[in-house]
Amino acid sequence: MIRVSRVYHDYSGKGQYAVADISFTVEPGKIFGFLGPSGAGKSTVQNLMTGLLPLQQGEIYYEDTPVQALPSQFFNQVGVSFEQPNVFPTLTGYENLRYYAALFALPTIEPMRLLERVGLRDAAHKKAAEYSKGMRQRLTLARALINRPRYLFLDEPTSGLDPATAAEIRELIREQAQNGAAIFLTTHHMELADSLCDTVAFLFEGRIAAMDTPENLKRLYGKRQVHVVYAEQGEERTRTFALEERHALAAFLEQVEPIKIHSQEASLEAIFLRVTGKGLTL
Amino acid sequence: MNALLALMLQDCKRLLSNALFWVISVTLLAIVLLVNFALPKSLLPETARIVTFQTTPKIPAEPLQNEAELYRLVAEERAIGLIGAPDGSIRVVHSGISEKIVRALILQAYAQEADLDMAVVTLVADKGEIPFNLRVLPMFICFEALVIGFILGGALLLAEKECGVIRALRISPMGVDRYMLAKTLLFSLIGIVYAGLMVVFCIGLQVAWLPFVLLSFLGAALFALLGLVFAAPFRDMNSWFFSMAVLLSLNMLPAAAYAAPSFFPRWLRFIPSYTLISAYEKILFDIGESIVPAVLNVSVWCVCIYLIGRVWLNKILFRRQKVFV
Ligand SMILES: Nc1ncnc2c1ncn2[C@@H]1O[C@H](COP(=O)(O)OP(=O)(O)O)[C@@H](O)[C@H]1O
Ligand SMILES: [Mg+2]
Repeated sequence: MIRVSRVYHDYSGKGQYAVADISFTVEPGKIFGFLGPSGAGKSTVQNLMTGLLPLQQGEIYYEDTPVQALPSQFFNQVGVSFEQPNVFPTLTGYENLRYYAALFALPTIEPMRLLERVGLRDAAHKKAAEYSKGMRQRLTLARALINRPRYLFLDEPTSGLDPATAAEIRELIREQAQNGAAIFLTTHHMELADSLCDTVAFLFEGRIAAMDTPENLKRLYGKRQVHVVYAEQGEERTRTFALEERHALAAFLEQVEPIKIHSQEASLEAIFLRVTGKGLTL
Repeated sequence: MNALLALMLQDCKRLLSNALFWVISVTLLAIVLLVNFALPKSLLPETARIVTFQTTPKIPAEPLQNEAELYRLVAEERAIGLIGAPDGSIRVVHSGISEKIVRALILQAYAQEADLDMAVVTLVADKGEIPFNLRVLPMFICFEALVIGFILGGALLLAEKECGVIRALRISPMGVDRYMLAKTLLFSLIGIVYAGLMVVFCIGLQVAWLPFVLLSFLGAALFALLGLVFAAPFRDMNSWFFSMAVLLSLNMLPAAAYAAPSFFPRWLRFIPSYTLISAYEKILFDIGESIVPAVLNVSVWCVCIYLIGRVWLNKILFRRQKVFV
């Protein structure tokens, strides 16, 4: 379990907080998602958690060890993929993974198997410099998984991927959670957060605006809508009501000949807009 | 250990795709050609004074009546002495020419009859007796083969900074020791191979290989460690290259002491290439003092730079919880 509590970070040292009052926990076997637009502070939080950034204020604990006191050996259990794919450009994808595999004290996954999983089998022996951004992104994901990490950090793992590959990657991430990893994931794709995360935090301007399971968020903030499809003068028409407007809905149903009625959940994107007043793509 | 080899292998692959590495390799070839063909061999052996005792070579020579006189001429007048023995073998007495030249001389002087397993007695008069083209070899070894690690160790490190891999390494179990060891050992091996190639192509196989390999290993390791320590604080290769080149030329100063013997400030001895050059002279030409102090000297340097380097690199590259620019 990773416990983050009341964390603030100020890059400038002038009291301008990039992130403020951040508290949450990431549990083993669960995926915790940070959803927010670009610049919200998602990568800052990840870097504070992995120890890349110094912790200025607040606490971050891995079980009972504060992040500042983690020894090098601890990182045998950690996997991190970065927002900017950072790989050796002059090594092939396969060689990049071999390099990393050599760093770990525990048995690692065979590089070719991982490359297969992230769809880089055919490009395994090409230099990473020739990869597209999406391919490098997948290579850093494979690299993050090579040591079967107990703590996994994924910064925008599906950005720049086509939908089919993104679905594969999603499956791969889900498997990691099933194997017991505690996963911290950042994204600005609400579908990803919705379909993958056990808990989602909306990060907006450096603060957590809302945090809950995707279902609860939808229940709490999303207006469920009811669509009534009815016939009028031989034509099919649709009228939409909010679930709260049930009297109006009842009255309407008295007046028309309904063909079908269906309800629809609000998307996380719509909820994000409601909670923060801004959309995910600024 | 296996893991270290894997790291070295991948670093080596990165090296092979580094343009600087090939520049240095081509320079090595150029040096071999230069030493063999372009640099004059000085006066030896064509115009050397050849004195003989109880032997008659097929080349112009001065027969002497007395062995002591032969030794005196070799020592004082830089002659080459040939002494015949009743069993037909020949003893060559000289004051510092290479084995290669001795063999060439004997072939010329006795043609097929030559018994090549002759005893060679070297009387050391002064350094001037070694042909000029070979005399520069120790310098070239120090300024070429051994400094590969200084240049390319730094280049590999800065490439890691530029592509951001260092951030991933920082939050991995790698640690500064494995990082430094993988790179240092790689460049030590390359240093041995490159220095060895230069010697094989310029002097031949008749070299005291064990001390040669030991010295090359230590020398290359020292330069690689210095290269890592020096490159660590730079942001990228562009900002590093100029000062690296300046430092590299400073390392070449002992060469100036060669060209102008009156230039020999005390501090020159503290430049590692000075010690290394003298030790190579001992190994290759058997002149100067024993190499033991030099080996100890370079070993101590290696250990010190390693210890300083691991604190320094840990602070600059590997420490977490730090703001990096
Ligand atoms: N190294 C840095 N120095 C100064 N400000 C930074 C740095 N990195 C990020 N920031 C600022 O912190 C805020 C959050 O950035 P970031 O964590 O990268 O957001 P996200 O990952 O959500 O896009 C942004 O306003 C950004 O400009
Ligand atoms: Mg980010």
